[in-house]
Amino acid sequence: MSVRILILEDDLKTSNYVKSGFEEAGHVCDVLSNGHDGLFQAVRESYDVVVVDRMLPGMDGMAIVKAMRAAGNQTPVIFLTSVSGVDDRVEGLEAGADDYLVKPFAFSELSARVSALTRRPSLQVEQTVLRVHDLEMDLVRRRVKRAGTTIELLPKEFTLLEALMRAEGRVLTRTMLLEKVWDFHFDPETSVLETHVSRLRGKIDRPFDIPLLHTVRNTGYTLHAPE
Amino acid sequence: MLRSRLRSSGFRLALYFLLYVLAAVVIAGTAAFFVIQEELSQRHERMVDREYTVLSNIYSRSGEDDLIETLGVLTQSSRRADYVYSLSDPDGGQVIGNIRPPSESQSTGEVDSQELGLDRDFRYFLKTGKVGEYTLTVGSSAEDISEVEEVFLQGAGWAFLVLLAISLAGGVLLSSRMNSRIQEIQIAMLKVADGDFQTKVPLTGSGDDVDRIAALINTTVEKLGTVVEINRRITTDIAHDLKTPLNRLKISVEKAMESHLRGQANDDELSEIEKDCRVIISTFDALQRISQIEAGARRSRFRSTDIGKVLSNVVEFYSTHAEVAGGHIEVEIEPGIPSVRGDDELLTQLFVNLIENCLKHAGGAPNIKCRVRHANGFVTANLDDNGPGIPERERENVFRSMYRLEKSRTKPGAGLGLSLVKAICDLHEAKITLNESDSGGLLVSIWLPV
Repeated sequence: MSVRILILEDDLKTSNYVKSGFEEAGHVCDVLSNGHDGLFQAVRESYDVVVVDRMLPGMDGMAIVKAMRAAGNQTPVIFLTSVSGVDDRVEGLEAGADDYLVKPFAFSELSARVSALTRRPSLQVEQTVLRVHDLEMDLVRRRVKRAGTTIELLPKEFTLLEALMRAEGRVLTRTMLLEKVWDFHFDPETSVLETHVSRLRGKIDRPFDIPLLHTVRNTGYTLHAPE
Repeated sequence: MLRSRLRSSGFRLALYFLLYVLAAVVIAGTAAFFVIQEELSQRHERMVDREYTVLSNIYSRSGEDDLIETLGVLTQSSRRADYVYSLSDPDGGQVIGNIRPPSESQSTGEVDSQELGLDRDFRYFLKTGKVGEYTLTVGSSAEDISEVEEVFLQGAGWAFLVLLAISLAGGVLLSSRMNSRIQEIQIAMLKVADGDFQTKVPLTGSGDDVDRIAALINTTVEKLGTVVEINRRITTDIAHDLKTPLNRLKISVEKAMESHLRGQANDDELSEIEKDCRVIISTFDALQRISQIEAGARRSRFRSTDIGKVLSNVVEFYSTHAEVAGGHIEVEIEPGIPSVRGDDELLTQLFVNLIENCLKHAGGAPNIKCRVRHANGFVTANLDDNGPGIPERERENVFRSMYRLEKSRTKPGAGLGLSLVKAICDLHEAKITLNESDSGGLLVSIWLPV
């Protein structure tokens, strides 16, 4: 699915890198480096997602998000911060941004977050059962079955699997999983997340023939039915 | 030189004090002068009174001839030169006297000598009254009062001059003493500005205000020196720690370029490059976080926080990992733990860093015990591991940025984990201690005020 993305970034190298990445993935991408022009463009045109840098000439990223929301524009916004401080993140989210990303970031991280935001509307319908191939999760009874066999999961394993199933077919990065499942807004040094995923894999994939949970090298994980 | 001395605070202080003392002397002197003058005047009035009474008694007892005769003797006597007399008949004609008979308005009280036909510089105290039909005037010269006045004024003048001279000399002395001490401070400060943090302002040991300021300056400079030294060391350590991944990065880039030129796949090299970049970025991230936390701005985000819940979440995250390594992490939370004011996210990071630290140094199977208790207004979190522990002499050092026990820096991590922990504790006004645990490992205790 092609999406329209507006990138407000004054660093030419970053914006070119991001733009070419999105265009390669088949998306349409506009780049502006001035805050005022960016706000004007974001409100006038219809975009699926807007990526805003925190510091911009003309108008600050935070002010752009506030102005967009004040004007009734609900386009999802990803905030780019160069400081890994929580204040910028919290302030950005309070101003009305939907997600944030700390610079320097990998394109795969931004791409995963953009696709998470652009898919969001379809999830608004409240589901009680999630299904991926023969894997089934009952959100009400909090039970998981694969090919009719009940699988016992620990509470956090359940939350981890739920996040992966809701994002079926999309990549969830390490940081996205740490945020969603453990509410960690930083990346621990050890490979603990890998251990959790490996445990989960041992329960939902290993006893079965077809693997559903896949590792995306250097990026994260994805859960999908065999192609 | 003179101008700077005149402008010095010591001299000015002495000058103000001098003016104050002089004003006090003038006021006190004037008061004394008038008191003495009044006392002497009263004495003269009493003397004149007595003389008049004696003469009028002579008249009443012996008659006018005796009075005239007595007056004749008195006016001629050089021993009575201080006294003046005049006796006039009812017609106003003078019978006897050594002064011109005073006019009616000037006949009693203080009168100028010119009024009495005398060529003197002082006044007379007069008393005039009727003795029979005659008018008797008796007077006493106030020459002694004038003399006392003169002596007093002269004395006061001299005293004033001597006082002025002594005070000026004292002011100059004081200001030069003060100046030399201020100069010492100036010289020391210039040395500090040049980067010499070993400089100390000399103390006199008197404990006066300048000494106290000097001591305060010395403490400040010492602390500043420590901070600068720490920064200098951190900079060196950062340079050292970043050089290794940067060198590795350079090698990986070169290898990737070679593979590319040879038309071979370079995925492995690129993956290495990405990993090295991550190490460099995470080092900077940690440093940035520490400085941000140390700045204390985040206190505004403090909320009511359940420490047990925060720690359990972290333990839950790591327990699978510890079990895979053959160990385990247990957590024991005393019931009824009150909440503390804090930042959830930072406290999570605090426990993450502590547990990662335990896991990193545990060697074989990591066994970590976590306990949360409440006593004496503090919520205490204890983390106890079976690792090698930290030697007692090193325990304070490990909280310093970039400090690592193994100087060779073979294990991963930039040595920022525990300094971040310390910064978070400081932000929460919590105390942190390191001790030896029962199993010989490390026991970390954190006291968070309720």
